[in-house]
Amino acid sequence: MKFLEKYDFTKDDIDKLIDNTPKKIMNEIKQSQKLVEKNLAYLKDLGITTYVQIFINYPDLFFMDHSNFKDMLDKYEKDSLIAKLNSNFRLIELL
Amino acid sequence: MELKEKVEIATRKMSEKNKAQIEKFSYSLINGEEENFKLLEEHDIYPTSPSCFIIYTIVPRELKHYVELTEQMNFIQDMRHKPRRLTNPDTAEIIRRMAECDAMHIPYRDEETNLCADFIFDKEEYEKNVRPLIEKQKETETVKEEPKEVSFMNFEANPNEEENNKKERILNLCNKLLETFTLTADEDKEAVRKALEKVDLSALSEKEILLAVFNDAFQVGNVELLSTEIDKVLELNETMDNGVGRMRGAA
Repeated sequence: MKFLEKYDFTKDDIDKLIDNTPKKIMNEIKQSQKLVEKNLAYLKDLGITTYVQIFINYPDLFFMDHSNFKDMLDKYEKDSLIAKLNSNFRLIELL
Repeated sequence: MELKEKVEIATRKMSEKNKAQIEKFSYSLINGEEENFKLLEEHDIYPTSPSCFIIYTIVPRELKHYVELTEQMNFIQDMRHKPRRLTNPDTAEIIRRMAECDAMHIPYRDEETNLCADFIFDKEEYEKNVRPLIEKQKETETVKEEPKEVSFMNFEANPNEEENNKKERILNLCNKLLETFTLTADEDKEAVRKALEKVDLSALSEKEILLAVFNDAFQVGNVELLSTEIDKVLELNETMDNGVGRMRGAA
């Protein structure tokens, strides 16, 4: 999970991810690292500051095809989306 | 098991709004273990939202262990309420928090719903919101104690010595329990020693400590059996203590 450090995950964040995530999902994160990184970077670059919590709580969301992942976010007005997700990361479930 | 059947089971108790979101979490649904779908259905545990599909990807043996344990420890209804908790059911910690709250008379179970407060399952929330309460309560209790005169006739035991004695006694009880379960390998003893280091001896009863230590060290599947064996060891120990006391008294 070293690659997560590039996205400013702390050791505690990575430990929390490991503690809360089934082994099958952890393996898939490794297997699909490129896709996961692409989705993670998109979320981060969009200005969503809660991307670490989103990843820790919804890791399987990041296995979505990148274009679908992008579409899921792009259908909302950017500033409003950022404000909402930054105040409550759990809203990602409802997008 | 066909995907259609998985979807039917996994969305059985989901609102229409949530059903519309399943695509985003389809990886866990598609790759979920068939055994888990059956096991959770048998225990009436269903995802409340698509993000809960992740529970189907847990190693089936582990999930079975968690579900049985939560059932025996009487908090399976909490898993039904928030199934996502099954991805990290640190049962030893949950039991320890419950015992600590019991000892400090901090309510954590809703009388109507019988559901436990979130802090019982969430380490961060517990440390942030409950720990300060416990510390405050402990401080108040310490202040309430009347100061005692120090004299050679009224010699008080050193608190560290008391703690060490308790630890030694617990270790002794752990060894007896290890023998009961024929866990005599060095690594078993080491696992117990490590688990014991994590437990706050001052806040728990001997039984609660032994339950927490053995659950942590061995992820005990049959907690009822463990509880019965602990009772036996404690009873035997008490009998022996009383016997020694009487012998000393007679001398």
